[in-house]
Amino acid sequence: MSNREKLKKLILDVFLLDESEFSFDLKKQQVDTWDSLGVVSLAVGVHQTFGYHFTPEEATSIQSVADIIKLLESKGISFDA
Amino acid sequence: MREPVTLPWSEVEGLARQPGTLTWATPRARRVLGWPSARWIDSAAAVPEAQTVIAIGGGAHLDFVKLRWRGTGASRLVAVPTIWGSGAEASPVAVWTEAGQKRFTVDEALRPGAMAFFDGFAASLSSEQVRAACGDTWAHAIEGFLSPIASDALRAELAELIRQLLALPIAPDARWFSLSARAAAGQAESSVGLVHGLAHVLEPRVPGAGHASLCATVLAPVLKFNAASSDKWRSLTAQHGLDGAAILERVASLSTREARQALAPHVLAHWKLVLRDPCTRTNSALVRPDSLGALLAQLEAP
Repeated sequence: MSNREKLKKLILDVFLLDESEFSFDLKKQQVDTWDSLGVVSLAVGVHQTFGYHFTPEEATSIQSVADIIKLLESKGISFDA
Repeated sequence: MREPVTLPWSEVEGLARQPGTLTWATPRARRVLGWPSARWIDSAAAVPEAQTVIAIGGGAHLDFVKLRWRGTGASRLVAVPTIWGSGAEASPVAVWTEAGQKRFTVDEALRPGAMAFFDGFAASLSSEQVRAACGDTWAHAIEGFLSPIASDALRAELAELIRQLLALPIAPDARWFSLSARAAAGQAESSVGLVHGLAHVLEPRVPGAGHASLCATVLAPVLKFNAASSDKWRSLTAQHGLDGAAILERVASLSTREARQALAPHVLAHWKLVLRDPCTRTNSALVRPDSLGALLAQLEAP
């Protein structure tokens, strides 16, 4: 499974979304469950899936799926298709 | 960890005899204590005039009194648990059931000003109550320790507490009271996880299932699920010098295989609610929709 596919599954599982609700353009404000608990859960999931541990500042600054990709790419995790 | 001051029991007995003190206790506590000169109450009506309110009972009773005492202006609340586990005497949390759903609130104004422990209550507990109460205490300590939002300092304190819990037998031993209060105070500064997510969802839906008993029953399966899903259990126990195998063995002794297996169909039936529970969402290992199979396997394991 590619990192893009892993991230998509993670977002679906963390925020309890249907596949039809997902896109790589998804933003925080479009997801009801992307609340403070969702931020914690996302950080746990990213650590388990990609081995990177968000700092609290990073976790709370993320506003979209694109932000997650950008941040993880800056840590050397590739999301090339 | 922030905790209320602990009063010696003799001081609480003296307080109960003072004219400005009201004592709000469960029938069992009144029976055990006697206290002919105490001013007993069973509603909040007189609370605003009191200098001190002594609340005596289990976790549900203490939470009930805390919610009614908050904001009344009564000068001090002294909380005395008749059973350990909830840690209601030490925490700023109150839990209640509303329309079949478990609700909770966290408010520093709910934390009692003082707590006290009476050894005689321990001796009056059944073995089943003891096992459930110890399970609730263990769940607070471990889930607080593993919490994704626990600080390093809090983890160190909870690791020391876990060492003390390991040294204590699952028995009606009054030392559980103070350790339970510390566990609850610690988890209140972090979070709980899937153990509490399961307990909150199942308690109103499984006939005869109490919160503490559910925590005792699911704790070992959830810990094994966490350990298999994430390296956090292994790395944190190693980092803090804890014997992970000994902890797993001890918490497995808190429930029977039959009790764990009996819960499996209920977990299956209510899994979507478990996933949405706030406690589940701060579990130390990510709980995914497809985690159900792995959790059921742990519940049904010999």
